[in-house]
Amino acid sequence: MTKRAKYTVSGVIVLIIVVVILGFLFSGGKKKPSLETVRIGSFSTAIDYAPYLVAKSQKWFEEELRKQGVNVEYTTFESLPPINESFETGRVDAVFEAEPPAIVGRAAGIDIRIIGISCSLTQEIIVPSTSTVKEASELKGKKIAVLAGTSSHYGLLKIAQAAGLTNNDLKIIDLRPPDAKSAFETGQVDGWAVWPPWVEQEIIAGKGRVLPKGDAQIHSILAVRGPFADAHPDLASSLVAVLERAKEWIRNHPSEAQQIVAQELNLDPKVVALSWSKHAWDAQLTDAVTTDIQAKADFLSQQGTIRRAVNVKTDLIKPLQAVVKP
Amino acid sequence: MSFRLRFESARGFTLTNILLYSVVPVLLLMVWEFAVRVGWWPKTLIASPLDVIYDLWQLLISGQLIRHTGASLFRLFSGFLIGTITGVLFGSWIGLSKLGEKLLSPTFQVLAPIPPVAWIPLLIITLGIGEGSKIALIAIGAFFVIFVNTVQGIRGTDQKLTEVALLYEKSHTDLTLFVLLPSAAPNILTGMRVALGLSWVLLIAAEVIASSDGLGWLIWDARNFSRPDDMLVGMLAVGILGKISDSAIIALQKYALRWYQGFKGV
Repeated sequence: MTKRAKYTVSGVIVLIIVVVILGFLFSGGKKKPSLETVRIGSFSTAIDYAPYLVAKSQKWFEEELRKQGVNVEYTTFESLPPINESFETGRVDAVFEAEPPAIVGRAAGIDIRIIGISCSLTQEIIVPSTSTVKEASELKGKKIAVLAGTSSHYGLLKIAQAAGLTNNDLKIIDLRPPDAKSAFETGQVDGWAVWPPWVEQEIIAGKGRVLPKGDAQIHSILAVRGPFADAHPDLASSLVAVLERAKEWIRNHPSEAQQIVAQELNLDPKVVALSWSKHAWDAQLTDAVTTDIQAKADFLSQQGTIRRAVNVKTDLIKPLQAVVKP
Repeated sequence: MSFRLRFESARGFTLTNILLYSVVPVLLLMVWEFAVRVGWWPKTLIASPLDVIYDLWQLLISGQLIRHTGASLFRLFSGFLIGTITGVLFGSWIGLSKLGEKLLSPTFQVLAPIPPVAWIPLLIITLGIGEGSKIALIAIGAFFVIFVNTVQGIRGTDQKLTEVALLYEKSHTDLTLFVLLPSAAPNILTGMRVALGLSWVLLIAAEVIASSDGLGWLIWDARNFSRPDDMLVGMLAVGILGKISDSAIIALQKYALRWYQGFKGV
């Protein structure tokens, strides 16, 4: 070996050792239990987050959490993977989403808890208004747009199964809602499994109609990071309290709530109004809902979408620890 | 040690060199394995190298990796070839003809700085969600790189060479084929190399849209469903294939420019 080569090799080795040592030093003092900001996120554009949107616009999260000396930050996720990645690396504390992404994350070993529910609704599939398809069983061999991993993906597979179709009978096209919208409106897909307001936008524009509903229930949930729930059960309970307050307000003030949602999501009020009654704003995390989420977890694991089974009662829905005040 | 000697030894597969080649990769792999094992990096998001190797084997014997690679390579080379051919054609026309320059240059100058991925919505609407829009995205990216390099190569031809050709009353065809294009060749080939690198980037971006196969889709889907080992196998495959395709372009460059005397490094 030449001298230069020797120097190079030993230099790189020394560098790596330094990096490893530095890594150890810095990883020690990283995780502090005290919290200054609770980071709340939501996924994509959906009407089912109405309680979150109302609470956010009325500043109820700030009101409740500042009592405990904590600030609030908001983010919106446009695709699913960053949600679970942020949960795992502690970059977000609470996210309003549907259950399948939480199940997928839990199956991969990420500590996620479901602590609240915004509403429940039924999955719908839309077809172009010119389409001859009248029910789900006629979707055999058709191209259906859906965003992989979402509640609608689960809903589509579930509806297809109920209609006697296998996975190979459908051509599932993985598209984010904005791209799916272009594909749907230009006739490049024969159907689209998605959530409100995307469904209602097509209906009001006269470009789509819904197929008769199946029985695929979707629950819009409040998911939190496990370590956050364990370290700050009081903050987690406050989030649930705000969510419940917002749900009650929504039930009592539907027209104001619709106005707020339309404003927050920058939507045509007609679209919000059309979708409104599809959401059960009084949904709770009852045994029936838990059983339904468990059925989803089992379904996804049978489909091979997730590699490991998830026990919803023991893994996903844990009661928040009672707050011990000194 | 003379420059010549060092140049020779830098290319050979001697024991010293193999050791030198592997220092950085082996150490990186060790740090990676270590970081995952002690929990610096969450296992749920990043698989360890040993897991990745095991998964690579699984995907190979199940035929999945071959299927995804095949789909990706088809898109990559179709797009790259279309982009290269049209890039050289339009680049030559604008380089050679003042009329071509006046007709097309303003349009292309405005279109060229647009990041290729910004075309995605338009491509979905015009070409659909099948292979067409994916190949077109790669072709657009490759086109502009090669187009710019071709124009530059032709316009950068040494005036002495063109004057000699004109002095000998060579025809326009001869001037183009035997003076201008050969003189532009180093530029065009450099453009091709850059374009190929860009094509890989765009391939991965394109395969996220409405795909069910391809390495980019494998990476995306694995990330979507928290399968970090599959995701890293996809990345590794892209890295290795990218390196192979780059080496192929360099070989082509060397062969096509064997007459060309350039600096070869010390």
